[in-house]
Amino acid sequence: MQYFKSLKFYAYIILFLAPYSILYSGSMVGTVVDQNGNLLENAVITIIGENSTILDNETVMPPPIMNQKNIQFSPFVLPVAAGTTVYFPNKDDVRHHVYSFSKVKRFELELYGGDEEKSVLFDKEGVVALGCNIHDQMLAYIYIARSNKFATTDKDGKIAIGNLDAGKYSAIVWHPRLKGKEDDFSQEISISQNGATNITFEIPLKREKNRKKKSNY
Amino acid sequence: MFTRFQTKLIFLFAALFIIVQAITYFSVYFVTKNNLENQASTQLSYSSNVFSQSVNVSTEKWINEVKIYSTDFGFLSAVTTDDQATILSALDNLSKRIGANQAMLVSLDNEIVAEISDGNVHAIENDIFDQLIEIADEEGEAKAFLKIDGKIYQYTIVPILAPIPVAWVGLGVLVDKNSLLEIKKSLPLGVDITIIEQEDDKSIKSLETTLDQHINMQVGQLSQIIASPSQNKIFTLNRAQYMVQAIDLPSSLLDNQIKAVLTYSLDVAYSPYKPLAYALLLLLGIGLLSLIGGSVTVAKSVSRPLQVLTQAAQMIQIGKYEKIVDIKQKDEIGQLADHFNEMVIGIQDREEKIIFQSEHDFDTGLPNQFRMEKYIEKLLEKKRNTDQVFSVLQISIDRFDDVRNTLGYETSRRLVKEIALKLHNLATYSNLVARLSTVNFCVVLENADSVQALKFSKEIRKSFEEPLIVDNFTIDTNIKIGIASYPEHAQSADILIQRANIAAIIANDNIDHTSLYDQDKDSYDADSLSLMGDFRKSLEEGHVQFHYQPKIDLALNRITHVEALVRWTHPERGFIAPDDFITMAEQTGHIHHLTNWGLETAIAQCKIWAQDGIDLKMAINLSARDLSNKKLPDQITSLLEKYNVAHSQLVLEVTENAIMQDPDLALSVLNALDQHGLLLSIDDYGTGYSSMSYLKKLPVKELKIDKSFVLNLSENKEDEILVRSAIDLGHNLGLKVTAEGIEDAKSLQILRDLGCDLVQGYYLSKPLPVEELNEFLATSSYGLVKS
Repeated sequence: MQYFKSLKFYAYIILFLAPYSILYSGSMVGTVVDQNGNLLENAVITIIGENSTILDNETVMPPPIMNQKNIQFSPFVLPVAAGTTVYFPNKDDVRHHVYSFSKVKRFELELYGGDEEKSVLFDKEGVVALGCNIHDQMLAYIYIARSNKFATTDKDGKIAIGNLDAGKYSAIVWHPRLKGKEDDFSQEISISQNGATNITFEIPLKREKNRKKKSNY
Repeated sequence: MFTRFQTKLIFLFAALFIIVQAITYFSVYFVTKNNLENQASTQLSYSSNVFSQSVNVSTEKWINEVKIYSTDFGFLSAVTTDDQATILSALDNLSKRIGANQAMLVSLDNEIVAEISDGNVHAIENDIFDQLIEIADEEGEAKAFLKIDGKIYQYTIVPILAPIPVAWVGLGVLVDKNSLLEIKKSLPLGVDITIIEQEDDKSIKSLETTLDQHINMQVGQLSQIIASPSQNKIFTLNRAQYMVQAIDLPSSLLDNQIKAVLTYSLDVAYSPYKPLAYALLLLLGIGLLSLIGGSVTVAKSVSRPLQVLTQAAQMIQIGKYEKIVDIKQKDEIGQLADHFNEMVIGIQDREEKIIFQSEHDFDTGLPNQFRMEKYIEKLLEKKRNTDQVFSVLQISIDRFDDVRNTLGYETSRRLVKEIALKLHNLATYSNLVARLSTVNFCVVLENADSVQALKFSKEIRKSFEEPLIVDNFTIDTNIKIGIASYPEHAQSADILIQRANIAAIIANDNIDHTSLYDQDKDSYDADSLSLMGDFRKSLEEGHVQFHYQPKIDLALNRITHVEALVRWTHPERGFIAPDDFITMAEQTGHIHHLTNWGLETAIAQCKIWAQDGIDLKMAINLSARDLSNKKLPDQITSLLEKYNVAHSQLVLEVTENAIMQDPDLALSVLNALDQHGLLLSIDDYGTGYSSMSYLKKLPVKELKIDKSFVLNLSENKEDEILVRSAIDLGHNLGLKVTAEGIEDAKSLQILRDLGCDLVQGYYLSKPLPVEELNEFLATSSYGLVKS
């Protein structure tokens, strides 16, 4: 529940800032569905400028956190911009041994119960799969985006990205079960000064893994 | 060899037995087969489970092993850092632990990063490889049986998770005969495993098998098995019967060409039952043999006695009863044989009785004519070649009809028995006594010629002199005896009997009523028969004539009568004595021709004499036959009228004996003749037995003393007394008395003195033909009565 509360918290911040942004810049509203038309949560959409110089220094982002609570990572997908340090607070009473063998970033963190100080810097773009060497069921992804304009879809498969200069961009989508590469599903979008551009991604997914056998280890 | 009955019995029993055995056999067969197939089916299902479980367990084990490696940070580190040496050592370790023949690490790009292999892992087809990895990605594992370089491997692809897949581990375990045999050890006996590959739509290749040789299975068969895995199919593979079940090999591939089938050898399954089948067949064989043996025995026990009975019946058919059927069985057949024997004895008894009856007389028990003929025939055979003799005597009872009519049948039957007894007592053991007919008996005298036979006949006669007493009746029995001797009179049995009979008939004429056969007197002789034929002819042709012997009236000394005496001069044989041919004519029925001729001739002669003025009464002899002819009076009357001759001109002479043969009839005929005005005369008076009272009844006018009393009248005083008394008797009865047979003058004088009315004889004149008579009449000193 803490996880969701904190999510709401950030959402409120975004909503609070939104009218200001909309006044001075364009926005994009996106929907992600799978091949069967189901609305997808946890899909990350990244807006990439033509010259890759999308910088919005005015947007103040809180430090990204990958919680460990109730023997689960939270959030499940954490998109960050490259060069971001992510904190791994252990809110459980038990130890966790968080690891990544992803090429983008390999690390190991041994976290004692209540340990909230450990962090890792993710400096390369890509996907890092997080696991816990103690608790096999724990899985989360840190998505290191190619720009700083990105968002994850909510339960309804929706995102809204504001504060965009009018112009042409390409939008890419990623999902933990995405079948194929992000670039395969990129879309060209035009952002105008007033109003939001609607975009819909339909992406194929791998079948959900049967994970029950992992529970023994 | 086999009679029909036996064959039938054997076939029937054998067929029944075979049917029963066949039902038993097929019942056992089908029940057994059904059980075996059920058993086979159970075994196969069980084996299928065992096999699948075995495969699954090992797969499970390998996956778990890989997962253990996945948790090893060192290994993960090596994988993610592409540390070849570490990876290889890890793969080597892994493969040794699970007994894999191939182990490989595959990158997420589906590139084989490292491998430990007994062969070429790159030989795995790319699309299958990729497909397996994709499945492993989605399912967490992928399993398949793959053919690599002609060998079969059980392959498992497992992801290395950190925690998402960072690489794939592929493990292949060689499936060869040894490994299959290892599994087979845990399967029931008779179950074999075969790994097959469907190469295309038409052929199936057996890749590995625990069978001795690879099976050739058709695609159609396989598809049948796969279509309905629960049903067990029985196929003939490599000339042996198998029940086949397909196994679902654990495979992640949708279309795995490698499949496994389990075969259960029905031959193996049947093998424990083969002794049972052989035992049943043996039972059938032994059963059939003993059944045939038994049937033959049973059939023989029926048919052999039947054959014996049949033969015995055939023997009986031809009249042989000697054989008694000897069947010792105590069953129905034995009973049949016993009854058969009793029947044979019964038939034999009855036949003997019938034969006895057919050969013997019912009343007296004496042999009959049939038997006697046989006896004589046997005797003839015995005597044929020797000069021994024997004689046949026929004894005929006279006037038996009278006795029977008077005393009744019963008494007369007892009389016959008495006679039979008497004859029997007279005959010695070698003499056969037989009864030929009611009144005729016969005695066969062995070693007796006619003289001895005559001697014996006297004994018989003597014994019959005493009257027989039957039922308190005293009966005088008169007999006639005829004798025929072998070889004197005949050479064969029937002729001997016949001639004895003829002799008996002739015997009537003899005083002692005994006669030897005499061919001359035998009117039945073939000669006699032809003579009778000649006689009729002679009557027509005039060879038979009357000679007339004059009778002289002593009172008138005139010739007043003639007696017509027949004379036959045969054209070839010359003179034939009247006694001979008249007796013959009487016996053969020719006498009426003679009577007809005689009456007409005599009456016609009377007419001639009448016309010539000669007054002679004509005497004609009538035979006994004539006296039984009721038409005779009318016949004579019409002849007399025809020739216009007075009735008084005719004198009819009849003998005592002729009258006595049928006195009643004779009397009625005589009375009728008398009423017609005809004169009657008793001829041969003195030779018969007619009583005086009887004589008195007769309507006669004349009495002729028999010539036997007259011939020696001149010398014999006794004759004279007899003649005198006869003359007195005649005169007293009012009759004229005639004497015939006068041979000399002295006799004539005596008769004249005695007052005899008429005389005739050779001394006066022999019978003369009509011409000579006429001359004699004209010249004789006696002369005619002058009219």
